[in-house]
Amino acid sequence: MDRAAYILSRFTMGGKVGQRHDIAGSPLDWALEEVDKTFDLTIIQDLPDTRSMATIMREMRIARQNAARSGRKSEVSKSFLQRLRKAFAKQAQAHFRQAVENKTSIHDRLALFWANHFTVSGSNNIVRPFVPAYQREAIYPNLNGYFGQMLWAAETHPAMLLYLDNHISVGPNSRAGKRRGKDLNENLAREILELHTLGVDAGYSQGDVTSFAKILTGWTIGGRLDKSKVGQSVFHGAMHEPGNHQLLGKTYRGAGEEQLKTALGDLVSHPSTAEFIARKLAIHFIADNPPESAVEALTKTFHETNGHLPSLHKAVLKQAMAHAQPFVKARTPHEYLTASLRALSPNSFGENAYKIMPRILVEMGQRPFSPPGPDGWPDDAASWISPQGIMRRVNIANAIATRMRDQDARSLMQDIYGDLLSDDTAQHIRRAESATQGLAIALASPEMLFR
Amino acid sequence: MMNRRDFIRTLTLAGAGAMVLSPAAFSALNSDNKFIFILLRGGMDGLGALPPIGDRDFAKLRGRDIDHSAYKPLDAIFALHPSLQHIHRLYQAGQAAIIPALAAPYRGRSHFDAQDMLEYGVARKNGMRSGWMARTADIIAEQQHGNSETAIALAGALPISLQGTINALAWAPDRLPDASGDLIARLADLYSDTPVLAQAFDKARKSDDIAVNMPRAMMERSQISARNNAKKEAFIQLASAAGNFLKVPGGPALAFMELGGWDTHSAQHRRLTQQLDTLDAGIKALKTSLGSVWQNSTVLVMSEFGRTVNFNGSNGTDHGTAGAGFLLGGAVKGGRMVGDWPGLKVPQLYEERDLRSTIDAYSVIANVLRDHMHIDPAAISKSILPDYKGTAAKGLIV
Repeated sequence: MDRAAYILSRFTMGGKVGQRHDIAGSPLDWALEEVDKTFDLTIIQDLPDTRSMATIMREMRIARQNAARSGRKSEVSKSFLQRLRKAFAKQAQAHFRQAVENKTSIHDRLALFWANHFTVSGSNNIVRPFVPAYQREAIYPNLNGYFGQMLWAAETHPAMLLYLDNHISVGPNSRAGKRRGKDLNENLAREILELHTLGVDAGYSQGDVTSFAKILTGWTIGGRLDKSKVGQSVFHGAMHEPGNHQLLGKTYRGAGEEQLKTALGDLVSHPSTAEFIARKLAIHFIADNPPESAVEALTKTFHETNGHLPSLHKAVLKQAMAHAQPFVKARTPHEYLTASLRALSPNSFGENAYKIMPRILVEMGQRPFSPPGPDGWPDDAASWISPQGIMRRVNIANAIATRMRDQDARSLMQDIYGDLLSDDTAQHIRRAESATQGLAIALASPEMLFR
Repeated sequence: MMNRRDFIRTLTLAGAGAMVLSPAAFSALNSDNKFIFILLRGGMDGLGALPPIGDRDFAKLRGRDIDHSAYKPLDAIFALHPSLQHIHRLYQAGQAAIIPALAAPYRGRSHFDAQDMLEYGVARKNGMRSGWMARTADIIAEQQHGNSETAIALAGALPISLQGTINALAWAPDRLPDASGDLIARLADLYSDTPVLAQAFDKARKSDDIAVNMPRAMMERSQISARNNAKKEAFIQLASAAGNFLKVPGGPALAFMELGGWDTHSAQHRRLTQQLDTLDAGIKALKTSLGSVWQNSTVLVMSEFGRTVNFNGSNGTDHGTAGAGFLLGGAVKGGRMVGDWPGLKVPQLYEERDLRSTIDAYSVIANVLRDHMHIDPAAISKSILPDYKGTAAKGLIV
């Protein structure tokens, strides 16, 4: 098996021409070293951050209040919404570009995995403008740290608080709760336990969820009163449910802010979390039904390193080499387009590719930054290789091929996949009636649809 | 016996190069003439498009293919496939010259290489980086002093033919047609070893807006015909657009079009009928759209190669050598066949399997460039078709 081609296909956003050759000597060592490097974010630096998006939203709220008196409310909204849309589109395009143009892209794939694990979805219009910045602020900087650090950054990020309603969760016995008669919202508490740490089968009870929701109260979004806190999360003691709270048999005491830190720390150390994360990584990097031995090995690594992410990433690389099964993981539409553009780059599409990507992705059933729910995009072939989905990809492959020239699919696929390219695919490309059809077949081949 | 009346033994004609005009004289000539090159990608079966029904050997080879009543006779030997109604009318009006055994110099049987070389305008891979139409576009731009868009490709991206010049543009409608029936069939074959893909793809093909109770055979036919209708519409649209671009005063002098789907290794009869129908409809749309400019136009329709004279085991034909070519337009000296008929007896065939070429495609292109586009023969042989050492065919243009 061509190990270099396999690693590039499975662990990056897709091979580029020449890359397989570059790492052919010792591909695993290359990948292990890459994991330890820092994420190259050159392409997505200097984008509007959460604070600047929140500032636009705040200005919009004030302007709408003022305009309501003069009856120009909708006009005012329109111009602000346009600003928000533009700022979002700029970020989305930069993110697409990063995944296509960043040469190594092991970190891009890891980032994709973790952003999906800690999903904040733009399917909610108010949340939508914040999603790319959330990923850059909570996920990307923590790829080389500990799981606990990423967990903390994600759960306390304003976008997460907003998405899973924690900003409006009020302890019923808190000062704010008593004054305004407000109550808990347990959305974030439940999803942290179910989706981010323990997993649904870990045996926690409704009591644990309610209790954890109380621990989370007070974590909200600043800026309503204090302008200097716009776009930041704050702990607002007046909303926090006072007293001690029980979670998974342990009592959390003390002032509210510390409670969450301790509780999240304990969730990281919980055996269910290690196994839950290990299995999810194995599913993403090894197979839809990964071997139990691999899951066990990764669980062990999680325990031993206390969730040190680079150690986990390297362990999953080694496991994926040991259980190598090329082309069994279906690429999502986003991964598919990204891999296609990487294979074809440099190409004549330029910036246009990133501008039209959102529209194509919507057509392919994957609205950018907007998975249907907090559980993120599915990570199995059955969800993506549907009759409708596959025909769309074939049509997209055809459309891309029709717009490309100067690409010889025969040498292109050979360069990227080496011995991993099946004889069948090579033959179908070779027998195509034209270079364009050959490229369409290459782009619609199992080697491109899967990784 | 073969009727050779009207045949022009182009390659044996001496003195075609005697037409000596200075470059200045060329540039002064009519610059409103148009040259449209339509590349049929995949290898059109010349014997299917242009059956030599008067050649007794044809009946032996393709007996099952012959339905005399439907064919449209041209002369004692040749007829046109029934789908080519419009081209037949052009022939009767003296606006179609048909070349039964045309081929570019390349003799391998690879689609990729054959198309590349035909588009580069070379006889062998020699590192040429621009297309012959691109080089022509540059010369015309020079002739027309500053007119900078002398060529257009009706395609999503510039084909090799028009690469390497700043004087060409590409145009295609925003929404390109969906994958063709042929591509779908090839992918279905490729997916057959990957069950998850095969199952999903099979379902997608079956459910392509087809009524639930339709029998399977009928279902597949109607799916294919739906896709082919879309393809035909798209080609008509491109042909109409080509006419619109070309007829604008000062518009491009050269246009490139392409039509894929000719690689009929199986079920050739049905597929060729649809392909030729699409081609014929496109030619008609082009003529209509060009309006009076049709009178100044020459359209060359050809494939990278022809196909085997014998059918293979799947009612199809495999990659061959010479095939039929069509020169159409008001500027064409038409209503006749051009070039010798090499015959279909085994010793007459190329490598005992393919129709032998009697006309070099480059001699035809050179003729059109010289007599129709008024390009200096020295420039043609020096920069446009450097590998072509023969003499340009003569007398193709009115």
